[in-house]
Amino acid sequence: MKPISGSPVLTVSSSPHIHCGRTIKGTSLQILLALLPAAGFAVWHSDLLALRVLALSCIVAVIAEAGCLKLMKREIESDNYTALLCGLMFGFLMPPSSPWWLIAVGSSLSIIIGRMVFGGLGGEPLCAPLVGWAICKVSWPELMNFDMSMLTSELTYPLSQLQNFGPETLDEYSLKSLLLGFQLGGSGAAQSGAILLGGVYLISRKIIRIDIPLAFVGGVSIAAALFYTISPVDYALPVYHILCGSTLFGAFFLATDSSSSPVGHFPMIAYGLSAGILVIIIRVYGAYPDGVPFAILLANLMTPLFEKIRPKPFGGITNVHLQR
Amino acid sequence: MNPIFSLTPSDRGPVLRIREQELSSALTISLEITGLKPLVSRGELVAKGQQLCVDPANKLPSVHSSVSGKVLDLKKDFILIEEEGDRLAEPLKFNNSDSVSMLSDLRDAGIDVHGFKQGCTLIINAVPKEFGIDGHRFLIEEFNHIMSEGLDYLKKAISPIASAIAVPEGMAWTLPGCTGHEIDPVYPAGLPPMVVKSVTGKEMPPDVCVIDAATLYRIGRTVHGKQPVTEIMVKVGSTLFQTPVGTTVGLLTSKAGFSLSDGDRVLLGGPLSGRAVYSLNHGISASTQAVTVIHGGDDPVAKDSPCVGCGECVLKCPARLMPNMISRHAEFGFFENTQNYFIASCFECGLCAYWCTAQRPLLQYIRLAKKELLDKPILEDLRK
Ligand code: SF4
Ligand code: SF4
Repeated sequence: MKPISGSPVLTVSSSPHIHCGRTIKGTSLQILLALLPAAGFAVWHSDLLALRVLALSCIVAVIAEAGCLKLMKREIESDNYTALLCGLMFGFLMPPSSPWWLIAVGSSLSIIIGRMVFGGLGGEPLCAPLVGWAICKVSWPELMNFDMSMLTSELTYPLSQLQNFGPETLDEYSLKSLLLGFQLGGSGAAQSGAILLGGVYLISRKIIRIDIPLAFVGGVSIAAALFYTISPVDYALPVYHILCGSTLFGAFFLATDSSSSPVGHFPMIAYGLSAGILVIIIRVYGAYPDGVPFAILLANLMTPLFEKIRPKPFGGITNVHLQR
Repeated sequence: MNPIFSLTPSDRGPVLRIREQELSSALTISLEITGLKPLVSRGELVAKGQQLCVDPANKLPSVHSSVSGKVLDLKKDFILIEEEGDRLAEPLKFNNSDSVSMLSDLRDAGIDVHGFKQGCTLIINAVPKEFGIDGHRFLIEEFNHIMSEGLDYLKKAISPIASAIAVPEGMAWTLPGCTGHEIDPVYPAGLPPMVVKSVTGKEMPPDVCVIDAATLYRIGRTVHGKQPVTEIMVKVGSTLFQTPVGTTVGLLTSKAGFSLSDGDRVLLGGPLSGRAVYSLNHGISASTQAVTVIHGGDDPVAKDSPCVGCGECVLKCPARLMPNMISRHAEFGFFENTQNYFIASCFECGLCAYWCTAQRPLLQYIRLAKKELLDKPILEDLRK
């Protein structure tokens, strides 16, 4: 039928005709907001050193993504802030004293190898910032070692103290000072209290689900408690494992990375638990003082397996309903 | 809870009768006849209740004129009738002898009897399909006897082994001869597969028929008055109308106080499962229960963006599917693969696309894949 003249031109669409309003851009902005307190703490603790790291890392990531998209002849989508977020998370993992080129290389590799070679946003099989981090860690271990790169700082790195001198050294860190970030570590990742605040904010805004962080922290606690009960003199209390290093950053921000984490409640919990347990295993037996990044990368690799755990579909495993 | 998912019926307000409204000209109705064969021609005078179109394949219900008038225009998809005179069609004859002819009599009277089977469990669905689609509250509370009459006829026609009525929690609605079932009034609990599950405890069992309360009323009205139903209850926004079948959505929305402009959407049904019309001259059909207006720019529309893997769709899907994976396969034309993700279990509630962070048109992809699978059956067991 012809619309009678003067009648409005209606938009047609097929159902559902409404959307909850949640967007990729909004989600990244919320996560960026949640990271702000930790970034502030990082800058404060490092006398502005971290500011340089974080800013450079963000800028490089955005440029790297835009460059790749240009090469791939795709629309530039920097305005969804996911590259910025990836850059910031990479910067959070780096020592505040890192040389500029290390940040530039790591941040761009996070985007290129971590994301773009897999087809861009949404294709990442591994948490992208961790990919850049792992490359740097393996290639320039001395620069990525917090004790060696941060000699001038009065702060110390609790996890290497724990690895080298045993759990009694941890007594010098009060829980309050750990929460306030008086420890060496990744620029933002070591700000446990601020990270926790950001994580709780994300959960309260329903940006991330509680499953993965809870299971992750649970995994860390259970494994650490197990070791601690075996021998309290050799192993640290679980609470130190949670507050030292990047455990909380991993739990709330890295492990929950949308495309590399599994979907579904049960797979999410299994994934979080595995990653958490791996953290402690690496910290106890591994060469790296902080097991979080590698634990999450390993758990990422298991994501497809976890996703195989699916409930039966409505109406059973069959497609006969198609004809009805 | 998000109010758009609430299925608790609203309190009864006044019913606006379109015929009692001031109309600037004679009422013009527009009936959709897609797929049907017209029995009248342009310029012909028709009586109220006269059969206008039938389905040559005897599947779809026929369409009747809801007014006495003159056929203004006849298109492939629409018949336009202008009201004039007060002719009334001959009463319908119901042949109560056997089930097949009872059902085909209903179809000839404009009732969709598709899927009614002998000896099934019959469920009357009185749960609103979506938020605000609760015009049947009036029918159940005022015309219970008409519904019973419809139920008696239906029982004779399909001799169900059991009959039940599903009502939203807290509503004391009953029908003689039906066991009552209260349903937690949260979308998508009012969609037939969910109602069946709550009542029978089984998921997609083959031997259950669901009929909604408004249709049961229409059956009752038809057999009671021996005339096809010409006036129905339609909820437009928050106003309940009693109006002839075929009343244009333009008239209804303006009487309900909406002013429409370019880019707005008008839906037959609700925002999650309704169907958009492209013209204000589109008339409501006998089975329409609501007209929804969505003003342009209120919400972001679906985008062609990649899935970011957030998993919201998977967590929200009441059919426990992975809409993300189904849509990824459908997007690139691998329709057969979607069966590995049990696409057939999707009952098109639309929640996945409603919640998708990437605003992907998930249900739209699913529908596309279903259609492709039906048109070109791949697996042996899908062939009829
Ligand atoms: S429309 Fe989406 S959410 Fe609803 S049943 Fe289908 S796949 Fe699941
Ligand atoms: S909700 Fe959208 S973006 Fe998230 S997993 Fe599902 S399809 Fe992907």
